[in-house]
Amino acid sequence: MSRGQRAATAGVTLTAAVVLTLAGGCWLAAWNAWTLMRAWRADVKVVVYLRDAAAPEEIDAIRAAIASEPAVRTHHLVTQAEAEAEFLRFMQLDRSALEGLGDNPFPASIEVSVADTAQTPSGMAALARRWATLAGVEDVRFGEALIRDLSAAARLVWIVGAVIGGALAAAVAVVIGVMVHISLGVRREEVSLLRLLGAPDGVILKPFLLEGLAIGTMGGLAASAVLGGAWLAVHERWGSTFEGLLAAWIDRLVFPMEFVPLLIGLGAIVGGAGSVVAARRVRQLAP
Amino acid sequence: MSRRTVSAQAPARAGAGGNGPVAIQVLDVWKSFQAGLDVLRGVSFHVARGELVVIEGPTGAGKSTLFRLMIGAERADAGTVFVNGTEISGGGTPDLAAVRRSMGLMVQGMPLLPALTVADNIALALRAVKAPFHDTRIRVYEMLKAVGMEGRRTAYPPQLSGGETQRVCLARALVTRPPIVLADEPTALLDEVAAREVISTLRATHARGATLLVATHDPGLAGRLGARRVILQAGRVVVAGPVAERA
Repeated sequence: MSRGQRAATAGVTLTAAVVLTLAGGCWLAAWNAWTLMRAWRADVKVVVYLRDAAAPEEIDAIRAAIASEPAVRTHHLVTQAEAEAEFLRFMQLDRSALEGLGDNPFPASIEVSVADTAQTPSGMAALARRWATLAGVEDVRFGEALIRDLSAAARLVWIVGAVIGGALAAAVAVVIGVMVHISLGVRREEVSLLRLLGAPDGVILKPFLLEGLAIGTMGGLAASAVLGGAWLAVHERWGSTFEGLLAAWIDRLVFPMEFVPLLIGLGAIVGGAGSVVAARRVRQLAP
Repeated sequence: MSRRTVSAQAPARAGAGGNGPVAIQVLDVWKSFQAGLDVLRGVSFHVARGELVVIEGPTGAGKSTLFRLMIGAERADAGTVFVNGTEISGGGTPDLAAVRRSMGLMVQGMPLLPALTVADNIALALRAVKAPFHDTRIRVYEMLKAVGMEGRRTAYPPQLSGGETQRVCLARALVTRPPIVLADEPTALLDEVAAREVISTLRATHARGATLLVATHDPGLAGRLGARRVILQAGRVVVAGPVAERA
């Protein structure tokens, strides 16, 4: 391989690494955003408000009915006194603020968290409908709009991440394909000679396919290293610099280790695919 | 002489001058690169398996074109060429690569690659036939020794003289131990000592059972090789003679 060819290969490898880093960054961002939204969605509870006049037996029956649902993860009875105390704590008020309202105005409730599989607008609505019919239940709320918005946002994030990442991965395939195409042209004489010597297509194309595969793999490796390093820098270094919501968000950032083989594999696949498409040119070159 | 279209008739058995089944059969082959200027005009001859044949003729007689037809690098305008029973001159041969792998080629249009060393250029032929990797170094060395070039294995083609280049091309043609060898002007550009070495290598190749077809403008080569002569002039076979006495 001449010095010029080596320089071209290094340039293409670098380009593949940069573009795969961008693609991986998109997917990583999408993954983190999706994970965050799932976590937020998991925090959304179904609240079953009880009538003030609900008898203890009715409350027990309601709790039993809730516990019998396979989709229910946990459920917790919040008494009127606990509801009032939570309100005062949240609003940073003291008891005197509620004087004049008469008896405790806060209803008792059962807070239910449901499994991931049921955390869909339709799944939670179905549960709410069933529980609303139970004796002693005043109302059932579950933040339907929030659940719907978070589900839609999570889906959108995945679609945008997949489309941008996919387009970037396709760009890597095109870049590697163009390089293999040029490489075939540069080594035209060798290809023609091998043809005349009776080499099968596999033997002629092998070095070009391996070149594309190696460039893609190295690009994937470099992208994994860059993204892993970036995650470490953000998580370990800047996580302690910030406070409040940003710190909490940074703390929740993840870099799944499965990402490394996936990115390397993706690099190899797009590199191989690009070179396979470009290598079709060999038939036009040989006598 | 009539001009026929390309046909795929079956190859004949060897006739006079041959001693076995036919390795190469050329039947009424016509070829021109310019309208009205025929390079080959109804050429017919055959080479029996294991035979040593020299195609003799001056420059421009059509020898190199004939060789390029025999390896499927050119198409015949009319007539047919069979190699080991496979029609090869009309294009579209299903397994042209396999036919080529059965031949050792030292023909025009197959230069050495300037970016590879002499040894790597010869190894290229072994790569084409998917020879085991561990055999490559030994076989390349043996072949270089046979053509007297073992001391130049790390040299690059631009550093070689014309005669050395000829010998490396011959080594590349023979390294796969092919059953058929086509050698175009193997002794051109060589001094007497180098020519003797090449002739000896060609005789040894024939002695191990290979079919050899050598093209030359040297009228003495057939005699030195002890080969049957086919004389080509202006695109026509004018003499298909018996085995020449070895000089």
